[in-house]
Amino acid sequence: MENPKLMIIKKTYVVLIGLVISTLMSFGQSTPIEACDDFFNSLSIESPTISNLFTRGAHITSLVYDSAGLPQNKSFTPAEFQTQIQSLSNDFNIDQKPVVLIFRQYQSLASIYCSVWITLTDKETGKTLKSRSIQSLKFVRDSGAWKINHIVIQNEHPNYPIDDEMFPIKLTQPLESRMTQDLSVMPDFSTEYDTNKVYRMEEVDEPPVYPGTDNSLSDLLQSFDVTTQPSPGYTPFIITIDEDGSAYLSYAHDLSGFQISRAESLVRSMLIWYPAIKYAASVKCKLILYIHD
Amino acid sequence: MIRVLIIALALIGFSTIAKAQDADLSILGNLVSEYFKAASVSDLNLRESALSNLFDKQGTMDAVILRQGQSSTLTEGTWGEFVEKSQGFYNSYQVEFEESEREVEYYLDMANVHCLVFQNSKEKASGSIYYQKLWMQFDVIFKSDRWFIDHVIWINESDPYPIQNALLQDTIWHQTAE
Repeated sequence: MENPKLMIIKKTYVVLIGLVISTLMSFGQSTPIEACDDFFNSLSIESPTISNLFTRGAHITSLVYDSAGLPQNKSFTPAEFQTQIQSLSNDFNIDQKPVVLIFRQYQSLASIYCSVWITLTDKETGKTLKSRSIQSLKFVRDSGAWKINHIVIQNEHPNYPIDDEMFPIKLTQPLESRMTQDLSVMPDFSTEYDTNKVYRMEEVDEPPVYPGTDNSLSDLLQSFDVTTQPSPGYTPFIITIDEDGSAYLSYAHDLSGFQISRAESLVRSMLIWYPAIKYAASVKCKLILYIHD
Repeated sequence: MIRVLIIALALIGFSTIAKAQDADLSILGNLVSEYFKAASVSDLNLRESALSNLFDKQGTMDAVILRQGQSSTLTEGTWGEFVEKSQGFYNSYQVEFEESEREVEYYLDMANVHCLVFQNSKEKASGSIYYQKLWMQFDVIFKSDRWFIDHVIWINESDPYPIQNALLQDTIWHQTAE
């Protein structure tokens, strides 16, 4: 049996440590901008814990598009949003950076409307996916610390690029070059075809071929609820077949976290393709697929 | 006579709501104006009906109540909960809103609307009128060919800090480590 005095001392230490941690956290979020930074930095951590950065009744609204291109909104509690991010972080290193922030504040309420640069790096292949979004964040000073009360996320639509004012070249160039530096050192062996170019199916002489029987690919796609043709309730994404036949997810702009994970599992399950051919050489080629919402 | 008066008042109320539903909500400004009209309706059922036409079904309505000592209280909930909980206040006061300034940021199917608003509350029993200035923020989304309110939050003005300053915006370029 443990000494009761010792137990009280232990409890006091636990309470004191708790107080110190909560005080440090309050200091850490002494301005809305710092709370904003904490949020985006937390997303880059392995298995991020973010629900403590939100008020109790907070919500996150994400605008996504169905296969007909119509907007739909999905609402998450902070705990649900955290699950989405954690699910995504199983397969990707997530890096989200606010770029330009329009900031307003009056006493205990603040608003940040900002552009966000998102990079997802596949943990297995090292390939990166780039995405941009506009996010509207509301902050409230709650028990001395700034917390997020609401977020609306709108990913960039390829047909409607976000204004350069929200993504000034001066700020995005370092982010862009960081992503492409590995590719830029690749030597150009040929003038007939571009080794860096990802060709569309109609541009290549021979399209990539999936190994096995005629049904191998369709069976695989079916098992992940993925089709090659657009249909209602399905969202498009792109996979690229490299010159060596390996497949990777190259555009998942409109997918939710769960859909990205599913699409990633599909790509991982693929055998090595026979790559596309252009000018008698194997080239990169992209395929558009559609995944169920 | 009283019954006739009540029926007449109810009809006026219904006619106001019908007009609100007629407003073209594919125009962002109409959505905000209709919100202030709906939030001014005294009758609980009519107010609920008018707001339900404006909010997304998952829409939320939050308030930061600022006191003289600059301490504040946050109230959060769905718009339906707010309608229910504010019933006591609406029983005692006739509320009107007068918007003085509006700023909007938007991209594609989302918009962020900032309004400076005078809220006039007339106490039904005494006729006394109370004014307060609010900074209201609407997060709105466009779907099914019209705008919906996804979230609204406001804070009241407290001396000596003019709420006008809430609309002074800073544009910050986030520094990215090389």
